[in-house]
Amino acid sequence: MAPLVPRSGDAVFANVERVNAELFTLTYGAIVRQLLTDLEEVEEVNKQLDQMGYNIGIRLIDEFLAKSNVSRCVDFKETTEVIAKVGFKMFLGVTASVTNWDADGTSCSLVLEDNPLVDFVELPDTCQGLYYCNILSGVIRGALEMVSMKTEVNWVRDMLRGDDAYELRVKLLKQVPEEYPYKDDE
Amino acid sequence: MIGVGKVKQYTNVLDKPLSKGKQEVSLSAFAFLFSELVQYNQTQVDNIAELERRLEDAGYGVGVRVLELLCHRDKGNRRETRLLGILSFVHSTVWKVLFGKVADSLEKGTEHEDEYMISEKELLVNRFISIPKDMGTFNCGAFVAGIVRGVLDSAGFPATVSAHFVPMEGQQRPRTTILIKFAEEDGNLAQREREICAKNAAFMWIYFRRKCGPALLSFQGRVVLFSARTNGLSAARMRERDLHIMC
Repeated sequence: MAPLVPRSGDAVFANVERVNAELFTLTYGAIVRQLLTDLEEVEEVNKQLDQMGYNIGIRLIDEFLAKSNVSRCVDFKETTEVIAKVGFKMFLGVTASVTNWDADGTSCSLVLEDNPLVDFVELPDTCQGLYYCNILSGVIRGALEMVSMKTEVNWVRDMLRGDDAYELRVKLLKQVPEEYPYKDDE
Repeated sequence: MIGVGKVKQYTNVLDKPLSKGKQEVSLSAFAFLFSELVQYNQTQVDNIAELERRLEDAGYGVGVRVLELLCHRDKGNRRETRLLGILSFVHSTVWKVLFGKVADSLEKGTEHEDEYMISEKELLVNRFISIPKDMGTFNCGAFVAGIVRGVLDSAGFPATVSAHFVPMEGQQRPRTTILIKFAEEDGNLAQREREICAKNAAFMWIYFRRKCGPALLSFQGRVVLFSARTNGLSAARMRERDLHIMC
């Protein structure tokens, strides 16, 4: 089979089926509202959103790899570039930028100017500790875990809390070598 | 230069300009999100009815907000007061904005008054969902039913809305029908429709009376007599069959 050329985020996004972002935004809002009613503790809601994101991420990575034809990333820098430019564009229709690399190249920031999850949203005083978009951190963590990278993803800046952009800190903890489900000598 | 390239900070979400509604996300992003919603609710309930109710409640919140958004953005802050008006609003505008196309059909129920059905060959939310046999008649379209209920409720037309699978001949996947049953409340809805008709009739009567003097107007050979009171014209004053002519 001829090697497939990796497609840019815009090209992939133009080829996938799309829905109105407002349906997406309002559905996400409904989810967060349900969680807040059920769990009541803001920390619990954060954890649950992260878990939901993780469940999405482990399945999302398959679709991502299938549709975007990206080649194997050489290092973590390339991985985060691909997430920011192709991944976010393909699913959310917005691009992120990668900044603030630390000295060993294992930790960086993904900055989102535009975020379809938070249209029409304002955090009330009772929910000030809530990371509203925490599902995104779970998605990234889950997706990277399925490609053998254990990461930790945290929010640094959040526009709903008064900052000027959304910033996620992605830190590579370790590369897990691929484990095969069967032994060679059996 | 100071301030160039810096995004303007809005402290209040209501001060932000309203988007045009043209932004899109991928269908799979929505499908993943919806599947998480359903999976989360499955862990919180013991039976199917409860699951449907929770999905409907989630959809209700969406419906309320969709109505506000669309009324402001697309309809210039005018609100629907007639039953058929709100139904065609749901069937065309709401469906077009949320799902990208108008609903397949809008029908009036034959058995009961105040029952209407919106049908769709395949609901967007059900695209990637298959229901296991042991869940019986459960339909994730309950979320969409909740959206419709939210829209109707906030527009002043309380109703019970549910989603049902209707198997179609020659098609593998059954059609989905959203059944809308307007709340009875002593025939409130029919009464309101009658009163609107009566008020319209009264205005017409006054207009014609001014034009052609006090006279009896006759429609198709039947004589219509009604009082020209304009405030809260009582329907009891108008004979029932004459109302059908007017409306």
